[in-house]
Amino acid sequence: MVAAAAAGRIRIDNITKTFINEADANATVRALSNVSLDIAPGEFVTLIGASGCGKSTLLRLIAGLIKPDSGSLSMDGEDISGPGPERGFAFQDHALFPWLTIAGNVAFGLKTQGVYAERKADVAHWIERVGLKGFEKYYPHQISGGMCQRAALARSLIVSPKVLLLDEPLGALDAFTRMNIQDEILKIHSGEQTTMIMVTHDVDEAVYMSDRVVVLSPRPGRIRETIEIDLARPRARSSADFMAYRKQLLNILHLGGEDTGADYVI
Amino acid sequence: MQNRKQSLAFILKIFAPALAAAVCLAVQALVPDASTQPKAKHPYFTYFMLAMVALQILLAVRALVSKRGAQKVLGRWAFRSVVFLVLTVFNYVIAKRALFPILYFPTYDRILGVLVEERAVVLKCLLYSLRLLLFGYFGGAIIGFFTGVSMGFSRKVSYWLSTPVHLVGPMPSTAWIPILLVIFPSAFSASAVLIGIAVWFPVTLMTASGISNISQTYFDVAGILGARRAQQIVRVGIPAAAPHIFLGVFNGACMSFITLVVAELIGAKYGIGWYINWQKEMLAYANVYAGLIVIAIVFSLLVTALFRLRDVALVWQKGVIKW
Repeated sequence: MVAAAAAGRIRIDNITKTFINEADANATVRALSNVSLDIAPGEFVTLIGASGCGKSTLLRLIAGLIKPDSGSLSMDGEDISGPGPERGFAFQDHALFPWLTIAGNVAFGLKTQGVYAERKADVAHWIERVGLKGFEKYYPHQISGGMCQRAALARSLIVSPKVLLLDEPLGALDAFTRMNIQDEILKIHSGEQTTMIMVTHDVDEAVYMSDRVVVLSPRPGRIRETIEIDLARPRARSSADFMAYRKQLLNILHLGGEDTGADYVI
Repeated sequence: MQNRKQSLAFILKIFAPALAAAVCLAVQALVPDASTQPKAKHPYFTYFMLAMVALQILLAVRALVSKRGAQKVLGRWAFRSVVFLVLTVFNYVIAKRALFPILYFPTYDRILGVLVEERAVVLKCLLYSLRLLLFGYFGGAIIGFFTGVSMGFSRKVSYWLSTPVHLVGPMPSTAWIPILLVIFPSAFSASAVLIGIAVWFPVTLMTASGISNISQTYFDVAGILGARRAQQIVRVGIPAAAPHIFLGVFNGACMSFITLVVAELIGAKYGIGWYINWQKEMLAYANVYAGLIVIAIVFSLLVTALFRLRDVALVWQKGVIKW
């Protein structure tokens, strides 16, 4: 799987994206301004920042769901021109198809690509891998939000994407489910060597999961700072080093409080 | 003591429908019909009520031995009892006392007599109606479905079609009768098209609006998983809009029933709507009521079948509309 590990490089070069207000054509919102970012194959990068900093927009640009006004995005040297199975996407509200069972949802990508017949066994494999064995025939409304999010992950991963884009997929879950699924995503990350780019509001989640945290600032959205998280995996959520990174991030986000000025040393 | 009271109430409820049916049968069998009421060949209503009493006793006995049977009877005992009592009251007022004009209010015996003695004609009329309904309904629904899908997915189609659809659709389809009679060679084709138009509009409207209400996220997901345009329509658009489409199909069915009865007034040779109208003109009101009973039962069965179909096709969102 050396070849697989070498694929999944994302290059973002000086992109700008402006949204036009539908009600008032003169009112425009500059979502992203001159953003450049290189993401290595197999890297786990988290985008963090206040609401309106354009982090979700950046993710949708990488997915190819929207196009930039200027600048370019490429994956493994090829321009990104539209969405495709090589770049998976996990949505905040799982976005499972309510008319399909869990198995039907997971199998969706295989069916659209016409490889369902030969790769049928993958469905059971991925359902088991995300811990949903026994729930194949359930419909999304019959299972919990956490289980739906697991199913959505299986649906994204079954088509072997080189890059997985995660748009706050765990935002709506309770703390325990959240930590559980974080570990499973990390397992998949190390197992499949998938490049992962995640948007989150959660500083702990960012430090726990990422190789690199990119902090964006709003209006217009631009990269403010990038922090390498140099901690061995698996990480302990309560270690001193973990806390130090956490504090550093909170300070950059101006959420650290007044008296925490400079007492962190890494 | 408390327990005994409860079990007494239980027994009363279980046997109440049978008792009410027995009262109805007794009034029918023991009180003679008013002399002015024309006699039927056989006391059909007596036979019917005999069967009903037997059935209700059977249900009551089953309720005594099986818990499920008891639940079923207990859930419906009051309704069933009242139905038999209402039948008794009508029977007494209409047949036994002839308090209403006998021409328009025949005895139950005569109404049931029509269903038995003239069953060949009634059945033939029913089959003619069902054939007309089949052609008109499915024709209209299929065309409506494709119109709706193309309007929902193509801006161009929507641009050209939405004004005509919104202009023509709300017209009562029966307003087309004078024109359809001129354009179409036979009464059957004119009637089928009439029903088709009535079904086409609700199906088109609900299909198109169902598709335009689908969350963009579903299409995004499909695109990311490699679905091409055609796959997005078939695998996402149509299933996601299915609950709306069903509403259109259901409303279309109701419209088609209305239109069917009217359509059969234009030059039809047979048909249940035609039958009712013909018998009305002959002042044969027993036949009119018989026709109404047939329509009520058949249309209700059709709607039930439609909902069963929905329960299978839309199992993922069961219980949105109840029937």
